[in-house]
Amino acid sequence: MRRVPSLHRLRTALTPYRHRLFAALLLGAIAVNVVQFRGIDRERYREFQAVGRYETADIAPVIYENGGWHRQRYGLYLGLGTLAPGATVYIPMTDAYADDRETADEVATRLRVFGRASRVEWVSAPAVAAGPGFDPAPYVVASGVGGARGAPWALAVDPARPRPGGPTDPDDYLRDIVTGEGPRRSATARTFALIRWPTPRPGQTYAYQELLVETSLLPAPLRDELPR
Amino acid sequence: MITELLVVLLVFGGGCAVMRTAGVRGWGLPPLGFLAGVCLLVGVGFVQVTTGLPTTPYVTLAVVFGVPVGWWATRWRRGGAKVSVPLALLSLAAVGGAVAVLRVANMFKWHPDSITYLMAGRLLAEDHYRSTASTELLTTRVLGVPLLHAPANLGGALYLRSITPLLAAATLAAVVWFLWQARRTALGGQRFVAVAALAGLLLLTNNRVVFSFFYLNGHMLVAACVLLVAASGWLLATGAAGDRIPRQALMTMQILAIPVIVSTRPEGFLVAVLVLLPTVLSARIPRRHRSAVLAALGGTVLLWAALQVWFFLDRDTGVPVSVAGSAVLGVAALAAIPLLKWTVVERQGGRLLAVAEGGIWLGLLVLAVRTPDTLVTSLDALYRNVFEGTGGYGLSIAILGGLLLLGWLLSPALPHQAHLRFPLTTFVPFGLILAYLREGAYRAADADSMNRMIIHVVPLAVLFLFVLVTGGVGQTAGRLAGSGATLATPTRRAIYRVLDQRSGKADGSPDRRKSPVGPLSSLDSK
Repeated sequence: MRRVPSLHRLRTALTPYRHRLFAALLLGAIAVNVVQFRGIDRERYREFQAVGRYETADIAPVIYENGGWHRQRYGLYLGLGTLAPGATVYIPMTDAYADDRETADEVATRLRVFGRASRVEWVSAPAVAAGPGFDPAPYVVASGVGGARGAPWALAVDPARPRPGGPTDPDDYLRDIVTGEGPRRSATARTFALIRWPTPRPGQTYAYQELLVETSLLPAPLRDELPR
Repeated sequence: MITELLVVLLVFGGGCAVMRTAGVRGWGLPPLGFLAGVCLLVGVGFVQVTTGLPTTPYVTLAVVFGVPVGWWATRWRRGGAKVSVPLALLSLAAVGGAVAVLRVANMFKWHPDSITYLMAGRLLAEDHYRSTASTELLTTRVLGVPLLHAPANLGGALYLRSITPLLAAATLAAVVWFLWQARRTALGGQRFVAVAALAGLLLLTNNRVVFSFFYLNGHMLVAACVLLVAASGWLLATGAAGDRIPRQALMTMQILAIPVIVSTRPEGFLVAVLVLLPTVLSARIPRRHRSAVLAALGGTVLLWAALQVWFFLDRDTGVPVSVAGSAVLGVAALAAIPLLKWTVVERQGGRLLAVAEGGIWLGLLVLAVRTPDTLVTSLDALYRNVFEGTGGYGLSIAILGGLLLLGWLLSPALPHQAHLRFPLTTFVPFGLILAYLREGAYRAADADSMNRMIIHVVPLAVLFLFVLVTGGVGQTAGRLAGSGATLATPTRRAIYRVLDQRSGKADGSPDRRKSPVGPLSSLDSK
């Protein structure tokens, strides 16, 4: 670029002081950064603060506790991964998941990543897909409310299987034990079915709940629809 | 702990082996080696995913460590690439200590994107990615960050606690290393320490830079690679390479960083083009290297596009225009390689860059005329994020921009500055164009994507600022071939030597004839 004469004159005049001028300006910039640093953090949510630590490095309990979004999205799957890692999960066909590949992939991803499912299989089981055909409520150990990020959910496990102790209120059960970094497998093989349970959760607009139910809890006629 | 320690040491060792074999030595080797190792980790993993190989991190780590160390050992047995054993042990101990501390620091930062990146990482580690990932996950949470953290799953974890902080620290050290290469002769030891301290403090007191040390996302990774490509290109063009810095090292850094930029952000293939353009158009850089970087860019973009096409077809879904567009760009990059022989490309490099930058602004203008609301809303968000503090930067970005402008106006002309300047001055119009290609305008929030993308250019901006303001220190007032550029003596000598080699003159004595490829300052003009 051809230099404008006045700029050239200014640059020439400033030459003896240029480095000192910039040193002062840089120190000023650093001072502004330092002064603003804590104020910036004070205005941010915890996850977006520059400084600050969590009690754990496991991200699962952190997102589980962080508002409702992530519990709606991932709570059911985190529950499965915490209580029954390495399970086989059947998803009965004619279920909503089978209609949309995008949703199906997303569900399978969550089951594998957070649910630690060793196998996810879509199966033809219309009676199971229509609803559990029995009341799983007594076996629900963990549950969560729904919202903009997902339907209400419930996890029903076989009481004969050992599980960690915790609050009896299913909404609170996972709070202290949830993990995304637990073992990949259980000692024994377990199977679950993922079903849209056509029973609304009280106070929620959804007409159903996402239910992961241990197949040993299903009545025999329903269980017979699933692979052995 | 053991898994993470081993993973980080393998990445560090492999990267250091590459950079040492390429000629880097001294204090710059550990940080540049770490960055190179991370680039290798992502690059090798990228090839595994896109070519249908098993995606287990065991294979990735074996290649990341084994191939470079084998290469280094071959050189070492021939008497080259020697390594100081005490320094190597000290570096390994320092990295090991950092891993141990960061493992228990629990200082990770996250937002919803972080979770989906880690989900993709676990799918990759357990080789379920191609069968299970959704097209949404593939296109919006691209491979760079998942590949970076996938090895954590070997130990049952979802992410590597120490790799992002170490990556950020290495990026800051790389800023200082590039500054050292550019200015050590002129500044001398003591003054350089003061300058390096100022540069380090300017970065380390920036709230969002500190945040980026712990943020589970790919912004610092992109920032590191943008820095490596732009600053290496600049040093190659200035002729400083070869005198003090091995050319091979700078070229290696560029080639390693390009696939990472492409594979870390959805818009990465376009960012890579912008950062690489000054290198591709520079007559000062050997054509063979420019062909190599174009091949790396085109090959990576094509592989990525091919994977996406396979995914969409496998899921019986229509292939989006953006995927087709990236494939066309990949082909164009490969097709452009023979065009580098055209002297007009070399002669008109500066003009072609100006045309490219003008084209970006023109594109933004056209989009703004069609849908002004998107631009107005995005500009308002950008203003609030940068000037009113909504984005979490405080005033740091506004001040950095002001200092850059002042430094550019008041400092002596910086030779080949386009390599450093072009990615910065195209950042804003390019970012605003992206607002039209995504779901909508940007918003005033710290989690807004353009606000987070600002960090991509912060290390480069700080390097450019310090290179500008330290210009003229201890320099000989040499003027070169009518370019108007004032150059440090060693640099000037190197340029004369290149000119002499081209014209068959052997003694290297300075003369004032014109360059056979046109003015040397074709990329210099401010």
